[in-house]
Amino acid sequence: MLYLFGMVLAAGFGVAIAALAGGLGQGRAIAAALEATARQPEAGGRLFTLMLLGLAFIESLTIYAFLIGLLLLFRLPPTADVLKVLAGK
Amino acid sequence: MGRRLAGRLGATAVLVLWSSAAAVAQEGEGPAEPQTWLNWLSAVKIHGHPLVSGTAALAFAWSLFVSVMLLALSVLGTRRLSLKSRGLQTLLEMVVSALRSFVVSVMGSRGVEFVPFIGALFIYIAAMNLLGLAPGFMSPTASLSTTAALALTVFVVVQYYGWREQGIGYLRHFIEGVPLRITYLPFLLLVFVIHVAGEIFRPLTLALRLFGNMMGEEIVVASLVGLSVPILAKWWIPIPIQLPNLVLALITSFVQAMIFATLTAVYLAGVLREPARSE
Repeated sequence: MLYLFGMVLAAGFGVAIAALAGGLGQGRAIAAALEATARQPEAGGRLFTLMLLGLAFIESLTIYAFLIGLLLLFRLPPTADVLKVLAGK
Repeated sequence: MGRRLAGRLGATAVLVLWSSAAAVAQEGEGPAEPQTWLNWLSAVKIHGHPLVSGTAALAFAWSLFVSVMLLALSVLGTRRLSLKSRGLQTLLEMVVSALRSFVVSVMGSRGVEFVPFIGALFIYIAAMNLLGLAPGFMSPTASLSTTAALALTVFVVVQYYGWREQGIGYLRHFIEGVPLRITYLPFLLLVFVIHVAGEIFRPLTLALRLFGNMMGEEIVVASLVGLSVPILAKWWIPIPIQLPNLVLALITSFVQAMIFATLTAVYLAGVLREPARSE
């Protein structure tokens, strides 16, 4: 039971922490891009493309953690079975 | 006006109900197998073995479909090539010239010989990603097999060009930064191992990034559709909650294809001889 407990907590908190870190990183990237665009509006197009590229890289790190969470979630048994085992105890 | 609206509502309802058949997965057994137009292939048997068994084989069948469609598109577009292009040829020319300028901007003048490879990667991956948005179709890139195959292809191509360009000097890449003297042997070995690990890590991240993005988008859409099914069942109002996500998926399909192509171009630029680099 501790095993299942651990899996559920890990899945939940893992993705949450990854989302937090990803959000912070992407925020910094966008802030830098906006600042640079404000300084030089002519370079806006190229900066936008580079920003999107950078955002996708940061996002992929969050997605790795999301994949682990998915892996854990899809290995959990159905809730009905777990409740039955708990009641049986 | 009223009949058209009713027709569209009905069509949406049917689509929502049908795609939710795939969304309402069995609990605890992993994502359900997607319900697509090519599922009948798993019933076709050759010598007693089904043609398609499992999601990965289904993804392969869909990737063949995408290839055939792209081939048909290019054949149609180049049937009567003329200097004053018209119709489909203009569209294809626009795409090719955009890809060419993109590859050359990343790789420098040497990029011209790699435009077919990287351009094909971009178009193929973008087409595969976009395919999953239509109901009844499946993104082959939502299966790790497809993305791993693409990443492996890129890996082999990069290594091949690295060896071809620089021969045995290619190994010098692996011991960058450490002077080549016998007293530095432990550092040389360490840097070598780290660099090899980095080289292996690159195709891994390529595959996982593309797979994660596509699979994640599919799972989000499936969950949202599953949310709207009870409302549909009770009050007969189909609310497509997944619509904003589908619009976002249009964008991320292209972005992920661009990321894959850009990274391939960067890796290739890294192994070609130094003057080819522009960044």
